[in-house]
Amino acid sequence: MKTTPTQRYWQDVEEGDVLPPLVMQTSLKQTIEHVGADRDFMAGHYNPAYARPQGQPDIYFNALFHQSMVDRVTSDWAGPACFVTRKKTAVRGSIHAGDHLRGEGCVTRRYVDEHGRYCLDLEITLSVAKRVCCDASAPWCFPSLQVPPPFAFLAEQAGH
Amino acid sequence: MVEQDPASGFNVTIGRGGRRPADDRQSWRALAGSDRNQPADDSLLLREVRDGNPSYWDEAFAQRQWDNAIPPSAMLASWLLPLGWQPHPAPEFEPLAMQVPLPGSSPVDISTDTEVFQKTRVGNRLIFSEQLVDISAETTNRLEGGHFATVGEYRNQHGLLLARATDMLFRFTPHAQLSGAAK
Repeated sequence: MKTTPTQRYWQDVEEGDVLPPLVMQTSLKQTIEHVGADRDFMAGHYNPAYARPQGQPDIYFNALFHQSMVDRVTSDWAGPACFVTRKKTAVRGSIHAGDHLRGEGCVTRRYVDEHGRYCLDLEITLSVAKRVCCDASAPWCFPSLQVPPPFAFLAEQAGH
Repeated sequence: MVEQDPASGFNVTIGRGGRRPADDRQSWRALAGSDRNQPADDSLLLREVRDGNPSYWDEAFAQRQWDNAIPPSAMLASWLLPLGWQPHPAPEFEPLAMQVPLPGSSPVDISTDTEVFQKTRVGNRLIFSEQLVDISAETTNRLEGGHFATVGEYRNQHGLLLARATDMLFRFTPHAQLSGAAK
């Protein structure tokens, strides 16, 4: 049976709210699988002999993994009826095969933007053993209790 | 400023693959050019981050919420990446930052700023164009290399801007290569 996760509405959230931490034990298998999943065949993502001369202790996930984890940290908390309008991610360090990854976040701003959308600015951090690997900031549009879905995107045009 | 020729740029058509009997979700299929078939199933990418967002897995939910199935945002960049092998030779995408004839064989993604203007939808034909907007001076600290800033735009077949990605890439030469060791 399919279940729909809890949806959080804009009115449910306050500035300063903290997202529940998300933890993931990564594995060598997962690291290799991710190479095939997104086709980033840069050798540092699958070959330790290439990664080590780069200064890395082992193979490491690519930036798309960081970005996808940032999305997951947010949407696991927010619910599926939200969308990101801009996402800035900065890679501060590598996530290696076998690392215990932790994702955290908080709400820094709650507002209605110039297009009438109900937005929250979020800051997300991915870390391994308290070493920050990625930080991200992003405005997300949330459903409002006053506006039924679906959303209309900016400049939404029929047939496009 | 260097601009990639749009005529030789990279086109991706988002089509609909077959249903999966196990989970009744659709797969995504990207077609590059007119004769290349690049299966780029988003379920693999989602599996690696354990993302169960029904916007991607539940077609009925996606239809109700977004009026169509949608891919996760990371798929945009993934669709550009070459297959590595295909039966019929065809041009494959190489980031502009890697085409600049400067030292540094090893790329590291430093940052990405992605602005999303529209959801990418089944049936869209994606047209990607990229500009190289800045090259830093060579760094001489722990790693010798340089930073390359690019702006890439994803448009659909109607020219509608779907997303813009500003990327910073660092290129360097690994120590093993500098010392002549085999890669």
